[in-house]
Amino acid sequence: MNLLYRTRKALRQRYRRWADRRTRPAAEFHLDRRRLYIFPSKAGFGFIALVVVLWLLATNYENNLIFMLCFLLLALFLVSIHFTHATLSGLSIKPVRAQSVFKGDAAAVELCISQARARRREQISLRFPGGESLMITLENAGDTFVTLLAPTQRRGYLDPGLLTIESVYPVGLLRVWGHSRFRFDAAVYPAPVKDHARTSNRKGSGEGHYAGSSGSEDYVGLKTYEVGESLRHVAWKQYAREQGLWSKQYGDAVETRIWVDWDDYTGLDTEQRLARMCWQVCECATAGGVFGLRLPGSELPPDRGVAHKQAALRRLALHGIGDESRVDDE
Amino acid sequence: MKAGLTMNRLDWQLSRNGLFWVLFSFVSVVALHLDHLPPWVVALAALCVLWRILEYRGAVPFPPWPLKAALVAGTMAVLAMEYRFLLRLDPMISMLIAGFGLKLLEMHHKRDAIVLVYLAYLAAALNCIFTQEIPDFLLVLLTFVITTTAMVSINQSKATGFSMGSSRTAVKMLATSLPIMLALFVVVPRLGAFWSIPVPKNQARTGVGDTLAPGGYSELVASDKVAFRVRFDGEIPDRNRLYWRGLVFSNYDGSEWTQASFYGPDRPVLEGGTDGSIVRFGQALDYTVTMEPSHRRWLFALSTPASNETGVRLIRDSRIVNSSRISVRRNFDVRSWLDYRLEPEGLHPHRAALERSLPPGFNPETLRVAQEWARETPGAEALINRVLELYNQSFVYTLEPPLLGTHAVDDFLWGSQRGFCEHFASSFVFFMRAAGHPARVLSGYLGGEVHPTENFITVRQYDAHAWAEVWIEGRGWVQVDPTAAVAPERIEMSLADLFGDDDGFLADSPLSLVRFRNFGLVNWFFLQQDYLDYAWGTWVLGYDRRQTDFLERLLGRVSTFRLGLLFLVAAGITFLPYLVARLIKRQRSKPDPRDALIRLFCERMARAGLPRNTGEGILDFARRIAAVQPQIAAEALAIANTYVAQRYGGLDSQPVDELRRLVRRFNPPKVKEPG
Repeated sequence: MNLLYRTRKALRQRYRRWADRRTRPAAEFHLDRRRLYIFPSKAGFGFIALVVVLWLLATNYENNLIFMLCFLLLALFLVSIHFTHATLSGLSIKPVRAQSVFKGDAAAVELCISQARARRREQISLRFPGGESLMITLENAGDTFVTLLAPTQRRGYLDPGLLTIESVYPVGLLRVWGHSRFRFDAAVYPAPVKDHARTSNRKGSGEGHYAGSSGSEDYVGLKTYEVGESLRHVAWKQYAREQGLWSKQYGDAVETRIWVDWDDYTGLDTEQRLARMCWQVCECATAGGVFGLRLPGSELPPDRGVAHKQAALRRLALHGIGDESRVDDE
Repeated sequence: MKAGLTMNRLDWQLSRNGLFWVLFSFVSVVALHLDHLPPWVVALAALCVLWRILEYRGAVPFPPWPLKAALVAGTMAVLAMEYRFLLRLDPMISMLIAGFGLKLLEMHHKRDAIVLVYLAYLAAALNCIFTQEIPDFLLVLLTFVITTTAMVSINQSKATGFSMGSSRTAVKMLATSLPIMLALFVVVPRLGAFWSIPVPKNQARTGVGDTLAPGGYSELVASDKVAFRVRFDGEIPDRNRLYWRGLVFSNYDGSEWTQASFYGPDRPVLEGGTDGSIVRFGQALDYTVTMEPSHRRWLFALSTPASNETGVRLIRDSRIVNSSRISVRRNFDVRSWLDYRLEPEGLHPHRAALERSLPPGFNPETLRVAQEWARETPGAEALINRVLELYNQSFVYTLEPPLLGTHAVDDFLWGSQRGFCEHFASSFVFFMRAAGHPARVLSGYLGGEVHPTENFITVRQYDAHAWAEVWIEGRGWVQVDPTAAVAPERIEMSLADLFGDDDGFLADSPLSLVRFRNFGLVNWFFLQQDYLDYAWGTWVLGYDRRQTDFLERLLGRVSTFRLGLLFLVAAGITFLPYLVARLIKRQRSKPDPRDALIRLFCERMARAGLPRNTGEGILDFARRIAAVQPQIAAEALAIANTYVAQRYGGLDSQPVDELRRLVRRFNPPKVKEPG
């Protein structure tokens, strides 16, 4: 039993590697004979056993009617190859968009599945490795948009892996499946790791102090509020007078800017450093402060706001990952 | 091998649609087997279905496991008590149905439902062991359709409510399977039984029985059921030679004729065909007897039959029996000689005594007259003629003879003088024995109806007949039909022609078509039905014996290549309707030319560096173009608006020219990369 299980597991891994190699990322996958695989399901093997039992019965009873029924079921099995294959054949899958997430979170990936002609296709399951499967039923011609969750395991560009699209419809005797793989521009940020010791060590030293404890001593003036800025800095008085949304500027800009710096995290490996820097970026952004990001060979000038935070996270995500290391699409 | 056999993770719960079709399939299987199920199994099945429906509606809980265990144990116990041997066919069917029903109660997952669907296929197919008639087989096919629908419905999405649509898919798939099924049926070789198998027991036996008493044939005459059909390879012999021998009776106890144990079905088998007791000469007749299930072992054939069929044995009194009961329609190839001598060399003293023996104390008048006549008329032939003369003078051949007393032969010969064939045969043999000549009664069928266009004969139960054989020194056994002496027309005509208006004839089937055959259309229909049934028996039920001939006729020469070609043709026939339908559809749904123009428009924009995004509406796209490339904003918006108005705004009857002109003229400049 154990041996069987292990053999099956090994075979499955082998298949997975082969399919991985075979399936190159593309902008659109058209499921056809070259892309679809078909094989009897467990129920299909049971059905074959039923056919064999009927054949034995027919032979032993020399009963031609049972022969006929036995052959009817065998023929049903054969034509169901066509019908099951047709459940997926002719579909196209395109990526629409994907969400950037922290490593370990599931990224929502939106896909567009389209068929040229109206045709009822039931019980199509879509799944990224390790993710939940989604069951859909197609009916009309045109596009159907689905959102799948793809678990993430590595920092960098989002690569949810091989998408498996499969179905056993209509009779469950065979399973037809295909794989596709897409490139996404979305990034997987490092999973933030809190490291108070280091951040508090640096407090007071260096160029600035921590934005979360930013003093409100020196009120400088008003500036148009930008989405993403801390609500604590909103000039509520002006807002109440219906003069618009302004945010208050404090102190010396140079004094309060913070550098999230690679060199602050010595003694750690790259991923550990990035994880801590990621946490710091999040903290800074939540506090609404101005921060910059320094990585070996690149620097993001200090700024604030959602777009800035995302730019910073994206730099962290893609640090050390060149465009060339993206899954190539030759 | 496979990427994740994780289907059980997907939607493993059984849908409502699936549940109902599986229940439906179960009910149809039970209905098929209604005849061979004890009533309590049917009641149990009904209870299970009802419980499962109530369970589904939330009215009753799932049965707790002690109850289920008790039900299973109880079922097994009752089955064991009822049948004693569980490894028979009937108890196995009962067990299958009972198990199926109990399994319904705990069917919640797709997995369970799949097992039940397979069981339903199996149980439905088993019905063909019991009966092989065309209507029964059509019912089995209907059950297959329902079961296939159940299989489709359990694979449909759970959102599907109870729907007949599932059966459309099933019918489509089964219809597609038919040509391949036929090809397989025609080609796949039949290997013959591997091991001995249980056959249905306790079936009602039909046809002539192994005893004969006056009035014993009235039941047969009341039935128009087919006993057997015969196809002759050559000319069909004259009707008056078609005496189908079934049984030979040598024992008489005063009321009933029975077979002598010496002639019992097993012992006096003639291995290799003959030991000199049967002398055949003249032309041999080859024919195939298609026996309907009689649930008896004896077969019916013309005089001096010989057969090479496995399990068929020739018996010394010149008839053939099968080694097991005939429970399904079966074909037997037989060869007979109509000219023969049977035991011409003399009878063994023991046999001679047996064939002359009479029960003491019966029919004193007949004994007296027979001995008197034997003195007056020496020689068997002369005596036979004298007795037949007697019959011919004053006897009446009738379906409704009066009842006879203890001295049945006396009452008949010297009293009522009205009787059916068994009265004549029985009294004749008694008389001959009383006169000292060895004689015996034969039972079987006489004649049969020759189909006007096809070369076969249908013998029905009302053709049952009894006649006699007398052993004559130097000639052996000589066949004598006393009925012919009193009613020669019986030999030339069928009973239906003779007694068509009689009450006793076909008393069990008042609406039988045989009664109305003087109407042309009814007769035509009757003959067609008869032929269909005959063809079913020889071409479907008995196909294995014709397979080689048929394949050779079909393919010219049987080779792998030609067999492969046959399958290709079958597959072609299978998918031809789809190809045709697809072609028609493609022609009918010509793409709208506007779609092609829009595609061209998008291609040009893409080449200019601004591709349309997936899922982006054409109007949104035009607005984006307008924002990025103000200089072509007007043209892009015009194209998008025209397209949307014509395609979706109900203006699609307008000419395409305007849009075509707009798109043709459209030539966007390259978009500069920002920054």
